[in-house]
Amino acid sequence: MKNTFWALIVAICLAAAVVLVPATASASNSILANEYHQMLSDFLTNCPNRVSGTSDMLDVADYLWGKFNEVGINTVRFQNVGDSQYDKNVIASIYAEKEKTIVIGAHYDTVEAEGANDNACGVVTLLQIAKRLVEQKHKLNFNVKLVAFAGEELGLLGSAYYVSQLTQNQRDNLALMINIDAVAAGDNLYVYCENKSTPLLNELLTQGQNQPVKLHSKPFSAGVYAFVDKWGYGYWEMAQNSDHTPFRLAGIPTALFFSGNYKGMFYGYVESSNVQNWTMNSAGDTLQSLQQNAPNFADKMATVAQMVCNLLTDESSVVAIEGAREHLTAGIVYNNDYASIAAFVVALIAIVGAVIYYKKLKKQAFVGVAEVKTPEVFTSPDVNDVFKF
Amino acid sequence: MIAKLRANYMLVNVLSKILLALAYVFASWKTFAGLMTMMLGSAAWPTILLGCSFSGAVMVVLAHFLPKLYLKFAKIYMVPHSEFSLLATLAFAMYYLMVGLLNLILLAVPTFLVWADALFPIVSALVCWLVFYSVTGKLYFNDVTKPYYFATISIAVIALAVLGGVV
Repeated sequence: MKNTFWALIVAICLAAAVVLVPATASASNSILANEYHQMLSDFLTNCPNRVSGTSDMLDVADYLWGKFNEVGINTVRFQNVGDSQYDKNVIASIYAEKEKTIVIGAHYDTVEAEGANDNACGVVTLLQIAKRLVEQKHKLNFNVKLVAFAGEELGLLGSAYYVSQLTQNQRDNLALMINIDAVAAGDNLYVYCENKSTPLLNELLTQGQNQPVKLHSKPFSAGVYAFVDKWGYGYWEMAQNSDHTPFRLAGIPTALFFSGNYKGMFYGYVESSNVQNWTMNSAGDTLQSLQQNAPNFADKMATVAQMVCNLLTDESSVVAIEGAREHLTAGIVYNNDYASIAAFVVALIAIVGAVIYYKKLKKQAFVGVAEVKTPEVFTSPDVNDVFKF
Repeated sequence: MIAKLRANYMLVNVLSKILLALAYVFASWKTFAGLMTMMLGSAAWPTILLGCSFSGAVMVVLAHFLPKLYLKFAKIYMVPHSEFSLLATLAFAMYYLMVGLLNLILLAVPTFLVWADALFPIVSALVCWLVFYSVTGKLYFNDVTKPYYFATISIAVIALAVLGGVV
C-alpha cells in the first residue's frame, strides 16, 4: 500500500513535469519573441527611412550608436563609406583580450520600403546579440566587432569599404564574418558557409538542432553556378549577394544566416511557399506583413541570436572557427589557383607538343622520306577520302 | 546510313548545323541559367532555352564563316571552302558535345566546378583540334603543305581560344 502511494506521488510529479516544463519553455520563448517584436517595432518607428545616400541615414546611424551604448558598449565608432556624406558603417567593439576577432554584420539600409525583413530584423538581431555578448563578455573566445553596414542595397558598398580599410594584420586576425540578412520572412532558416560541408557548418547545424526554429544548411544548387569567384564559389548564386561576399573574396571565412525556401537543386529558390511573403525589396516588406504571413519571425531572430552567442562563447566551437580559413583558401578542390595552374600546364604541354610535331613535319617535308598519299603534290586529294557529294 | 549521308551534301550540311546548335544548347544551358538568374532574379526553362538557342544560331553562323575567313587569311586556295567549313562545324559540334557531357559530372559532384571550369574546355578543345587537324590534314594536304597548314591552324585555334576566353 505504501509502495503504491509513493508510486502514485512519483507518477503525479512526472506528469506535472511533462506538462509544466514545455509550458515554461513556451512562456520563455513567448517573452523572448515579444522582446524581439518590441525592438523591431521600435526600430521601424524611429528609423522609417533608411535609403542609402539620403540624409535619413545619419539619423539611423545615431539611433544605432545610442542602442549600442544602451546595451553597454562604449567603444562605438562611425566609418564613412568612401566619400559618402550620409552613409556610415556603425562599428561597436567588444574587446575580450583575445588574439582573433569575429565580425558580426547586418545591413541597416533598405530600398524605398519599410524593410522589416530586409533588413530591420537583421539589425534588431544584431542589437540582441550585442546585449547578450556584453553580459557574457567573460566567456567570449574572440574579440567581437558588431557592424551595422550601410549601402548594401547599392551594391555592398559598406561592407566592401570596411574590408578595403582593413590592414593585412587585421585581415589575418579576422577569424570569421557572420552576416545576418533577411532572416524573418522565409519558410526555413538557413546558414550558408561557402556552399560546402565544413567543421564550422557542422558545428552550427549541430547547435541548431535544439533551437526554437530548426537551422538548415543551404542545399547545393548546381544550376546557378554561372561564375565562380577567386575561391571557387558561385559568385552570383542565390543567397550569395550580401555583405559577407567582400569578406569571402578577401579570404575571410563567412557564415550567412538567411531565411527562404529551397525546393530543389535547380533554381528551386523562393522566399516562401506563401506568395504573400515574397516581399524582398518591395513595398510589401512591412512589419504588418511579417505578423500576418510569418508568425514565427521573432523565433527565427531569436534562434539566430542564440546560435551566434553560442558559437562565440562555446569552447567546442573554437577549433571549427579557427579552422574555417584553412577550408576556405587552402583546399585543392576549391581554390581556383590550383585549377588555373593545371589548365596552364595542360596548355603548355600542348604547345610544346605542337612545336615538336611541327619540327617533325618540317623535317619530313624537307627530307621527303614520308609516305606521300597521292603521287602528285598540290593536286586534289585522294578521291576515296573526300565526301562524295 | 553513313554512306547515304556522305552522298548528300545538302542534308549533311543542314544536319551538321542543327547538331552544332543542339550541342551548344547542351553545353551552355547552365551558364545561361546563371545569367538569367543574375539579371532577372529567376530562371525559367523556356527563357533559358530561348537564350541558348539564339546564341546557338549565332554560333552556327560563326562556325560557317570563321573557317572560310581562316582559309582566306592563311592564303590556302586549294581546299574546297564549303567542305572545310562543314568539317569545322562538325568539329565545333563535337567540342560542345564533349563540354556538355563533361558538365554532367557536375550534377553528381557540384564542388568539382572549379576544376571543371578550368579543365573541361581546354581538354575538349585539344581533342577536337587534333581530330579536325588529322581529318583535314589527311584529306587536303600532303607532306610538303602540311607543316604550313599545321602552323596556321594551330595559331587560329589558339587565337580563337584566347578570344573565346576573353569574350
